[in-house]
Amino acid sequence: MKDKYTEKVMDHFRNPRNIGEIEDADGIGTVGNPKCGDIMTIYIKVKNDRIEDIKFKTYGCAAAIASTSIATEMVKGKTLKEAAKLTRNDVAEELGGLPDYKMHCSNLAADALKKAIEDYKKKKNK
Amino acid sequence: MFGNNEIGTIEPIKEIGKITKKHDILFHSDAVQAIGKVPIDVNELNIDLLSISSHKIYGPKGAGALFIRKGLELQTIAHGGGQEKGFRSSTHNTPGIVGLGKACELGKKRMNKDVSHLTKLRDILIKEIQSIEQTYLNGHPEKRLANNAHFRFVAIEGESLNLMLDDKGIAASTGSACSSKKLQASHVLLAIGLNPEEAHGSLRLTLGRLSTKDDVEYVVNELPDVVQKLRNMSPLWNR
Ligand code: FES
Repeated sequence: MKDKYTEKVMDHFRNPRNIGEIEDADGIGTVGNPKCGDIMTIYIKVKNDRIEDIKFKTYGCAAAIASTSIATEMVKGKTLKEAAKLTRNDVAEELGGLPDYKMHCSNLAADALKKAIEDYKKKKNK
Repeated sequence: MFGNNEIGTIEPIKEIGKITKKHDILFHSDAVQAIGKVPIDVNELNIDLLSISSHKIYGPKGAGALFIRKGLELQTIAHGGGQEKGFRSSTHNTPGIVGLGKACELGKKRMNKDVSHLTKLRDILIKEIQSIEQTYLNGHPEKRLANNAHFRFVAIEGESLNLMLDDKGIAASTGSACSSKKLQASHVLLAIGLNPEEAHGSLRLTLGRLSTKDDVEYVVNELPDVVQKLRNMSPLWNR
């Protein structure tokens, strides 16, 4: 079962980075996966337009957990503009590839992040 | 199916046999999982056709058998040399056939012992694992195969659960959509009325003649931590 995943996926799955919640988050993004029913939430803390802190929670397969984990690592410290550019391919590539039928899981990570950024902007413009 | 391969439920074969007999319908039962764990008397149960498989009863892989009630005429699907009374052409798999026969003979002798051993171990699994909060047994509480324990855990997903157990040397399986290439939850779990979310956190543990009490205790000790670890990651778990 493990063979379908790269070592990197398994590493992020076994030891997910940035797991948890941020109580006073500036932006929160939750997305659900219509394909298989999984859910992930990303919390961001923003300072000077940069993602100062980021945390996540994921209910899903190993690919979903690893995708969110690595996505949070990739955008931590980045400007919001840079972070918003993250695509599912970036995530999958960084993981050393994902099986085709698991690509939608990496999609979720990118979408949850975008939602969290939008949420932050909405709250700020209020 | 005589005994379900996923959730282990033993179907009311006798009742079905009565109905099929009354209405003159041929009755085929897939007893691959049940053979060696449940006594099967095709006459008493009114079964016309019964499938079994050798490797499930510790026989060699690659052999199986179809019981055909005397007088039934089946259509041949494998034409050729006319082996096995014309039903299944191609050279006999003699070692497989002999092995299956021997496995049946031994299986029948050992059935009582096997079943009581498996039941004891299975019941430890069921009792201990169900004591994890928000964890439920799938399938029938009593009318189930002696080697099968099937659970669902709220707020976690089966593929991740399986992989983490795999890291601990525990081999299990799941009916979660994420673990199927088609991303569909197990049809069995949906058919018993679970919704896809419930099927998501499902876990099947099966036992064999060689399973020991130590094995079972190891699983029972490791599982709660793994479940908790995944729940701590899950946005659906709040406590
Ligand atoms: S989250 Fe369901 S397949 Fe990855």
